[in-house]
Amino acid sequence: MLEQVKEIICEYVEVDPSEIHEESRFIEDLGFTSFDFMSMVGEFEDTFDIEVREEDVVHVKTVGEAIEYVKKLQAE
Amino acid sequence: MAVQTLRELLVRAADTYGEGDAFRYKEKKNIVTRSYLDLKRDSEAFSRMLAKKGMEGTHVAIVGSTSYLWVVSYFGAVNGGNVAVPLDASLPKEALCRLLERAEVSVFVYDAGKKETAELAKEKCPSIKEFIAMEELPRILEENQGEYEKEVTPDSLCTIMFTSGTTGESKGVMLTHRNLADNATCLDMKIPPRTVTMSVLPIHHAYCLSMDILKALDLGSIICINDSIMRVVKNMKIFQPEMMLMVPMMIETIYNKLQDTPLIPKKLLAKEVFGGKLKTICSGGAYLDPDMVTKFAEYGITILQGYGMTECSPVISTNLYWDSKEASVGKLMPGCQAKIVDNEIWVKSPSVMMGYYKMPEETAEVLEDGWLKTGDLGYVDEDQFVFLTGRKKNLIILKNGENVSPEEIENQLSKERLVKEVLVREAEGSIEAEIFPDEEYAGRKRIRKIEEKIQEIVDNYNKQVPMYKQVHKLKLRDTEFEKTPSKKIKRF
Repeated sequence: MLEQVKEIICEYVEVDPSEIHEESRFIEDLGFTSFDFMSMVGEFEDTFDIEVREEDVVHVKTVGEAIEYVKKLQAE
Repeated sequence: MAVQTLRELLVRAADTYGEGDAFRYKEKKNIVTRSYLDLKRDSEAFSRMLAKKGMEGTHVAIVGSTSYLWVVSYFGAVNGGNVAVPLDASLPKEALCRLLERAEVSVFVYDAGKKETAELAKEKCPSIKEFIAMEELPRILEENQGEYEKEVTPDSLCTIMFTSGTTGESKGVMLTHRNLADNATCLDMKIPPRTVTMSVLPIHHAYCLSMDILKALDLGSIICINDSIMRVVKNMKIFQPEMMLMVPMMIETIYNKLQDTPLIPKKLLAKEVFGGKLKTICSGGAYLDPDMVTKFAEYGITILQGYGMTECSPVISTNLYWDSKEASVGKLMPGCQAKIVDNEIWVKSPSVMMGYYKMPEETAEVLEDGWLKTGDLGYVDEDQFVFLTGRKKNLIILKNGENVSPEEIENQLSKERLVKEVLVREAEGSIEAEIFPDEEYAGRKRIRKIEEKIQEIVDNYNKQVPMYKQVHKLKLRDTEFEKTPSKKIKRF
């Protein structure tokens, strides 16, 4: 899943995929704006066939946390 | 005759567009529509309910994301001369309760996401007499249907909107019916009736409330409601808007997305991304790089950059299809005069606020003989076009249109003993704090990892505030800041 997430991240910010790790923080390390971030999470809904709750999204700060969140929703 | 109150604006829209769609929105997987007559009827039922409860003339706070029922509650309040107080749904519940107190709210209308705030307000805000959950509204409106007639005077207070202040505490901007009605109706943008728009900005912002909602009532537009900021592109495909209001941050994100697929012809790609019918984006809330206007034109989309502030209901100037100048923020609105005092733009118009709610000193600082001091530096050319060159105040205006007072964040962070001096500024689109730690205190308390401890302080602060007020960059310094003669930190 990390590879798929990396691919989506690169549509929003100019960063080399090799620089994206599970610990990378979206805003501080990858240079996302809050709107970039929300739009990307919206894209996760289609890619991973999940329904994201806006109030949960504020707790997602890193790439690893995003993957965990997607996995949790997929399991529900 | 010119419309002078929001009641008149609503009645005129209902008379003119009647059963025509006013709103389209998603409810689960279906698209629901509501007409202009529905809006009038439902908001009048809301007004009748307020009157029945003995709540006429009181302040009514509305908190929630954009919805048909939010707009019904808003008109329900202002129809009968109540004062509407739209609040930022993204604020933590404690901050919302403080604003409810300061605005002397008697009726609190909230959506399903704000139940916890309502619970806290029941304890903390004794002035609130009525709590109304939006999910109860369909039943309440049904029970209160009926004739409604009420005269509202144009110069009476209509809405209080909170905006960031430079001294730290947010200020309640008092707008009258005339202020808002004039701003929404004074300019003929030559937009045909029944134009489809999609509302994506937070509705408690003056720009969204005034231009997405009130202006739509003037034009007879069809307002499609975006259910989440996460789904803007998806919803553009569903609703196929012809016109949208955006802030620069959104415009730039969408531009980056367009850039990512360079092989598809530009106009075809724009059709795919924007739903196929989008022709116009109105940009406001913050300054947009004029390059974006040129770049979007290549995709067949016109960006009209405007300028305004809540204190002016909010539009001061805007570019138009047939009347625009590159790099300007547009031509002054009809009836708006401007003058330049020490490089600062001052404006006078029927849209200039009454003042800040219960803040006479702050009001006197910005209003002088009916002139509003905008705090923006710039000039107005011979054709009445406004050009901005900078800001006089310290207010940070982020690309999403949110205004952040650096002093507010500085005051919060400097409450910590380890923070001796702090300066907050904008850096590459986000908020940066530069901190001079109190090493003597650290020594006494045997704090060895100062940087870690300071980061912890910033993280704790970030947890208590909405995303746009969070500090995303931290710098430490080992000398104190340079000071002005009055011992204030030099900002620049």
